[in-house]
Amino acid sequence: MAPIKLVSRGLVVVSAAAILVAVLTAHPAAPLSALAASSLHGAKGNVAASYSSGSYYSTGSYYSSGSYYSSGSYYSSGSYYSSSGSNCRYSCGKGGTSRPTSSITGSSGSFSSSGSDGGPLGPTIPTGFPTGLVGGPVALLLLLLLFWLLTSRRQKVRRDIGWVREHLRFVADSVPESPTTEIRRRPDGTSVSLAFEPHLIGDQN
Amino acid sequence: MTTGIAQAGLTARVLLLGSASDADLEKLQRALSDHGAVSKVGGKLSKLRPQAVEAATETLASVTAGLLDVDLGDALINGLRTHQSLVRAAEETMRVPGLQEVVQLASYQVSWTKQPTVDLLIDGTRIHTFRFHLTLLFEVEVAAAVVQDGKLVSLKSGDGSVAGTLSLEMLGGDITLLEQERKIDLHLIVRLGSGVPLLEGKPDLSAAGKEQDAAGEETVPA
Repeated sequence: MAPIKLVSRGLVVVSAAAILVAVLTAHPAAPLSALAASSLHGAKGNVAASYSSGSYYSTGSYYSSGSYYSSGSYYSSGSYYSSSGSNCRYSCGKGGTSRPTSSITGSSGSFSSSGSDGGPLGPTIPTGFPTGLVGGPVALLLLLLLFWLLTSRRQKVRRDIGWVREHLRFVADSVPESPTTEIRRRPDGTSVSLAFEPHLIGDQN
Repeated sequence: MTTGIAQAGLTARVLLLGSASDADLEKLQRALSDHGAVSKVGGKLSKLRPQAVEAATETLASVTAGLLDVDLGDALINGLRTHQSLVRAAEETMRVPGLQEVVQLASYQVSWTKQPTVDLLIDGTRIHTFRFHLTLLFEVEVAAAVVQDGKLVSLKSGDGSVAGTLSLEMLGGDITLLEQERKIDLHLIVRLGSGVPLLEGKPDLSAAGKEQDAAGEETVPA
């Protein structure tokens, strides 16, 4: 019984986590940034652009406004890139998400970057794990699995109780043996018997 | 634990469960459930869901409670019937019509034990027998019993108490399911009516007494 409870609780926790992830990744900024990134692919170098890193994509909290970015995590990552002589600044964010080697050719020259920490001087399409797409169905599946588990368990309980009611009988013994009695006198006293016999006065005469 | 003074018509069920209604079965059901009385039978019962085992335990508790419908007064009388002083007095009063004997009983202890059983049947086949032990232990202080015509016709007593125990035989040893003790007032729980025969199951001494009396009358000189 305990493992079933543990599994059920685990499923609830996992489902809740999956739903949370799904809700977070459903932020409208995510698809927009992806769209923006893809539209910039192959753009000219002087065009202000913003790129999203993996972390940006997953949290959706990064805000882009033209050519300047401010974010604590952004500075701490140390991966801030600026193309001199242009209005374009690129943010790669922390190199937690591996980025493919990318290269672009713009009007100001050709740039190439490689490695996960390398600053992309060209547009990059986010290729992080699409949790938003996967989280929803997974959560739904987990919920369905949980529902199925609970339902099937109830059915088994009902079936077992039905079996007990139908097949099991408890019968008290029809010829109970006579009880045994025992009397023990305490050592601190003795029994005294007094007899009273009636005598009619008429009998004495 | 000793609770209030027992009243007339007190049964072992009332003593142990609190009342004679099914609502008080929970105590017994919990005790059976805590010790896994049903699930430890084995076989298919050990594979049942806990809710189904509870349903079976509830039925077992209900049947077992029926075994507790034992009148405490009757149990005490059963014990008193074995008291030598009372038996002698009963025999004497049977021999001498009209003779009344007052027997002052010293403090004594009456134990009454019964071993009822409950069979567990699956589709009519017995697969297990639950063996219970119901024990009633009366502690009676000095009492005075009046015996006439072989019957206990009156009983006056001091303080007393009764302790009831219901246990169940299990593989690992007996387990105590219910245990309760309370004060009793003998003349309240013992219903004497027109007198309780003390010589039940023994040869009728009254006939012998009458014959003896007749012989005595004959020998008495006119």
